[in-house]
Amino acid sequence: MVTPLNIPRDIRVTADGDGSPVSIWLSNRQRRVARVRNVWRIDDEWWRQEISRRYFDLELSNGSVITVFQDLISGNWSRQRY
Amino acid sequence: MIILCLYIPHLPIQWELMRHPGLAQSALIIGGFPHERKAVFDCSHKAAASGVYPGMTLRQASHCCPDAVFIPIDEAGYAKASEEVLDILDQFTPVAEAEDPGRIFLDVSGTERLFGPSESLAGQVIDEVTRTTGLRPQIGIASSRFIAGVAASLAVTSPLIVRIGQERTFLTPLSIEFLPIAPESIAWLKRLGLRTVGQVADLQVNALDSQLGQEGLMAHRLANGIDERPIIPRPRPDVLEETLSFEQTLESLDALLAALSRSLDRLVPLLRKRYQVCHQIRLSFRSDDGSAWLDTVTLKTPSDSQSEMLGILKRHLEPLSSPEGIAEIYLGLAKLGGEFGKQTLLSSKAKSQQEEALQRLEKDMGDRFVRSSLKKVVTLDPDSRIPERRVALADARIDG
Repeated sequence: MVTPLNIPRDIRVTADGDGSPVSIWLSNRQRRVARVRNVWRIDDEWWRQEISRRYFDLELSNGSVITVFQDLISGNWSRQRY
Repeated sequence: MIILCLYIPHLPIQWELMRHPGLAQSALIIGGFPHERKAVFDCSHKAAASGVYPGMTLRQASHCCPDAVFIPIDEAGYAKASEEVLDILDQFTPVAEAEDPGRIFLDVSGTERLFGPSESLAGQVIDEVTRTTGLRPQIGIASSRFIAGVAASLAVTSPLIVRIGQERTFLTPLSIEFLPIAPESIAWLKRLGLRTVGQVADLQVNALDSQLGQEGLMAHRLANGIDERPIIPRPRPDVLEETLSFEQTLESLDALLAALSRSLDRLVPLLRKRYQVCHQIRLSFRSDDGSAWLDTVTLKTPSDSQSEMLGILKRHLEPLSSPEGIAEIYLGLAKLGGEFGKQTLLSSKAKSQQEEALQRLEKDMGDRFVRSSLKKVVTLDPDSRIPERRVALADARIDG
């Protein structure tokens, strides 16, 4: 049996009008996004179950970094190492 | 609570037939010889068919069955057989109690994950005991030791399992002979017209108390399926030990280490079977001139590894003067403790040690869990733009 690693995990994100994260919730605490370091989009596996995501590499107010993405099909936000 | 009773009917007879297979066709009576003022201890079916029964005098037994073969009692042998069965049952649960040499109770509560449902467990126990000892047990499983014991007595062709909630249904029609009370008490109950356990269960407890006292109270409780007696496991030795004697004395360190290695080969598996580690090694040597040498090695890190312990012994013995004339050695693994977790840096070990450590890990996890939990990381598509497509966990097996 094969189990994929680095599965996306749901995360609560507050985004601005452009869809860019301004804060995220970690361990029931809200963290402000200090800076968006990078943004990129992937569209893949259209022949199977289409995947369309916009990734954000974020620096938080406490100095830590995290990668999140918004699923452009469902609108849900997830965190995932890239 | 789930109790398994392993009952070996006529254990003495089975034991003697294993030692003397040529007697299989004979009527066998254990207890002594006909001229002795003793009673029959046990007898085979053939002897029983002639009217012999345990408790009968040997003289009477010889009249009933003149062609029988008479054998003295070997209590030490029967106890040894029972201990051997207890050792086998250790792999199923450490909570095992031998009520008498032919009847052992195990607390198997919570072992479903390891051995499956009761039917599967019973089959595995029977297979293991029969394969290892040649003895043929009967198995009963129930929520109390009394019911499990009765079920085992009745389980002649296959294991008998009394499900929770079915205890009264099982007990009600049984003869009062199954109640563990004195024959006089059985006789008194029969005089009252009571024949079944169900009838005893329906009696007013005061009546039993006034006539039979504590025994009556116990009978009433057991008849109602109430038996809270725990299983009391045998005390486990706190030293695993072995003594070796040599016809030809050991004259070199290499010979001594080879003997210690063979001894560790036998003791370490016993240690691992108990999921214990050793904190201290005890050594003693006796020379052919009678002089003795004793030593104790305390391990800095508790261990269950044969190679580690041998290495420690070698480093400990090398500085000493070369041994001569060693006629006997004693090796004891002492201060046995519970499991000990340690971070193992596999990369610092030689490849053979890495494989040994991983194989042991795989076996230990396979023993504890129905499926091995050992996994390895496999690369699927390292260049995939979708992160969860790059690597995965797969079941791993360590090949020797």
